[in-house]
Amino acid sequence: MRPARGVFGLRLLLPILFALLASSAAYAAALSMASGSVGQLGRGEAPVDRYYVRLLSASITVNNDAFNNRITGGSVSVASTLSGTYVVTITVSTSAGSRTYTTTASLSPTPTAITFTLAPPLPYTAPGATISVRADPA
Amino acid sequence: MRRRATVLTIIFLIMLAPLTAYSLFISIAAVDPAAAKPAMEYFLGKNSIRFYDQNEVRSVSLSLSGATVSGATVQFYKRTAGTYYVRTTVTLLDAGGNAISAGAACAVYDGTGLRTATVTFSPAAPIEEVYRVSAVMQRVEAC
Repeated sequence: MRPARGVFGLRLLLPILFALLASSAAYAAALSMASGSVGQLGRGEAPVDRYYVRLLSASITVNNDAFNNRITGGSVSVASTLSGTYVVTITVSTSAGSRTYTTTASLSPTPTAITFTLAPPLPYTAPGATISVRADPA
Repeated sequence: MRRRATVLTIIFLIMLAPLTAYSLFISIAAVDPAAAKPAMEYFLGKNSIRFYDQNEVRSVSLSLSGATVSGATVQFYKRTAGTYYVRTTVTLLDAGGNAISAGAACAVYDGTGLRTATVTFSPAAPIEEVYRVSAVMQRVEAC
């Protein structure tokens, strides 16, 4: 009766082995079929959506009309070619320094107005101010 | 027999190991969109020639024709009193800082306060190529 243990072991393992082989082959076949429609798999070209930020207008508000005035805030009109929720970072800089304002907004190809405030206000010095708007997926 | 069973068990385990990789689920939808152009900036000019030209830009708005920038409206604060010509220039720059289009408008303005200038770009530029918009003005003797 002792030799029967090895035989039983083989009888038990071989079907499992073949089942694994079969399932592995089936999965590999399914994966290769799926990869045909997903360019990211092994083709070097990702079908990841790409977006362009469009800053359509920018304006500043100042504390007064004197030459040595300060920028207290402003508003921008921004759009993205790809609709979604973005972290929008607005940076205003002059020769006196820079301020950053960050918010989360839903952007789409239709422009969205974002009003921002700067704390503390930034001196509006010559030769001017740069307003930079950056949008990253939230 | 025992040796054969051991070998088969090892083979079984070796085959099982790669299968764990199949249990990983990678969702393409979870991949963040790639940024082709994640940022844009505007430069609003301010002049500092005392008693002559201390005007400053307060806002710039682009006009689009589809995906093409055709013009811009500039609002500036005319601080230096008097009646004189002001030339407003808006330049569109690409990612490398090169000008791809520009437009200018020249008109006579008087008094002080917010004033508006409208420029037309030639040639019109695709908005996706515009990374920086520069709006400056300058007092001139004649247009």
